[in-house]
Amino acid sequence: MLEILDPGLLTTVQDLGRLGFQKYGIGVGGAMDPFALRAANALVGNAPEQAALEITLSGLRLVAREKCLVAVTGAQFTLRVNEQTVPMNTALFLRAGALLELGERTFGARAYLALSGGIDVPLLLNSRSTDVRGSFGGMQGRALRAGDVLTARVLQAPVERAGKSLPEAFARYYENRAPLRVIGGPHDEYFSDAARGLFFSSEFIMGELSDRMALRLRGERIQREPGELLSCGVALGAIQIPPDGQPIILMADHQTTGGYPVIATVIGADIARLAQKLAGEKFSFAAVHLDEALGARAELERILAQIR
Amino acid sequence: MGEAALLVELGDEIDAGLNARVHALAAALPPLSGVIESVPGYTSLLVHFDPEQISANALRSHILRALENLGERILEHSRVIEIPTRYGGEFGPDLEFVAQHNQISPDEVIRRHTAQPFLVFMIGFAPGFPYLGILPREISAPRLDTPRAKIPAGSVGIAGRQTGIYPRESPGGWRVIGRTDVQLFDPNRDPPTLLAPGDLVRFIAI
Repeated sequence: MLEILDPGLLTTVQDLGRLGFQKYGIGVGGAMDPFALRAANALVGNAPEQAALEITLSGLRLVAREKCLVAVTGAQFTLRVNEQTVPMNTALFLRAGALLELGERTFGARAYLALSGGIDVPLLLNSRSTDVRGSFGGMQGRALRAGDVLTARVLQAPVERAGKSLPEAFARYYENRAPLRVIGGPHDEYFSDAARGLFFSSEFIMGELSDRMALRLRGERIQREPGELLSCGVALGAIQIPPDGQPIILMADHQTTGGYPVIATVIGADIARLAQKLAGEKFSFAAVHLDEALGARAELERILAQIR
Repeated sequence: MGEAALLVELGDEIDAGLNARVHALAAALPPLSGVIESVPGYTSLLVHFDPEQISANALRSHILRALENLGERILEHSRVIEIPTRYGGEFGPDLEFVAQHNQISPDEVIRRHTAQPFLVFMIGFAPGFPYLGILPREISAPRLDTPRAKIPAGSVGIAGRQTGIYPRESPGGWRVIGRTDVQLFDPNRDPPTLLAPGDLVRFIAI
C-alpha cells in the first residue's frame, strides 16, 4: 500500500504501547507523542490504538501504491504530494501512484503518519510497537528501510474524510512555552530543600544523548543525599537524579525499573510537548497538584474528542 | 510517581522475606478496573493505573486493605527453575577475578554459586533479566569500572550480592562467571520470559 522510498533517520511503527509486561522487564514503548499519534488516527477515522509511523527529525518519502487516506501530525514538516505543498494536521486522500514527501522540518522532533485502516504489522504482546533495542515488534523489530511496503489492516480510503483537519487547540497545545508541569516525589528523602529549590528554579538544556529511552538534561548540579536506592519500578516522565546531578527524564522506551532517586514526574498531559523538544532547547519545571494534572489530561481528551 | 503510578514501599533493605511480601501484595491486588499493571522492585511495588478510571485515593485504600490482609503470608508455591551453566573459560571470563577477589578457588566459587537456589527479587534492566539473590558474601564482587560493550546472551554475572543472567547480547558491567544456553526471553512465547518475580533459580554446573 505505502512503499517507503526513503525512511529518513529513524522511522518506526508505533502505537499506544505494550501494557501488562513490565514485571517481566518488557517496557511499554509506543509513540513518544501519544497525543499526536491519536490525533493522526482520529483524522483518518482510526481507533486511537491503531499503529502509525513515528518519523524522527528528518523527512521521509513514500509512494502510495493504491489509493488511501493518510494524515501527518506532531512535528511540523513541509509536506508535499506530487511536489505540491499540502497541509499538515489534515486528512489527505492519495491516489494510486501519489508521492508523499516530508521535507523541511520547522518545529518539533517527531511526526506521526497515520494510514486509514491502521498499519498492518503483527500484534506482539498486545502491541504493534517497535522495540528497536529489543529487536521485536513493529516491522520485524527494526526501523523502516527503503523498499519496505506497509499495508493497512482494513483496506479503506474514506475519501469523504479528506480535508478534515485538527482543531486550533491542537496547535496551541504545542505553542505552550510554560514550564513543564511535574508532580513532586516520591523519593523526597534523597533531596534537601535546597536541592529541590535549585531544581525548580533552574533552567535546563536538553542534551544531545537524548533518545526514545530518556531525555538527558544539562544544567545546575542537583545534589542528592547519600545512600543507595534499591531498584524499583519507574514511570513514564519520571525525572531521575543520577550521581552527577544531571536530570534524566524517562520517556517511552524507558527501562521498567531504575536505581536512581526520582525527584518529580512530568504529568501525562505534558509528555507530548516534551517529546517534541530538541537537543539544545531550554526548559524548566513547575510543581503542580494532582488536580491540575487530572484537569490537563481531561483537556487533552476534550481536544481529541473534537476530531470527528 | 506522577498522577498515574503509585509506589508502595515496604522497607529499605534487600531481604527475601520482605521481597516475598512485595510479590504477595502484587498477587493479592484485586483485579480493579483502572489498574494496568504492577512492577515489583526489591522492597517496593509500583502500581500503574489509569486515573480516569480509578482515583489515586481509591487505589491507595485498596492497597492498604490488601496489605492488612496479607499478614505474614509468604509465597508458598515458588517454582524452582534449573539453569544449566558452563562456568569459567571463554564462558566466564571473570570467574578468576571473583575467586581472587574473595581469596578462594574458582571451583569454590562454582560450588557456592550452585549450592543453593536464589530468589528472583525482580526483573528489570532488559526483558527477562532476573535480579537474583542473596549471594553469599564469599562470592560477591564489585561491578566492572567500565561496562563491557558486548556481553553474550546467556551470560551469568555477579554484581555485589546479586547474580543475574543476560537474556540477550547487551552492554553490561556485571562480572561474568559462566554462560547458559537457556533462553530467558522470547516475545513470541506466553509468558514471554522464562522467569517471573518470586521464582527460585538453581544453577547447575555442566
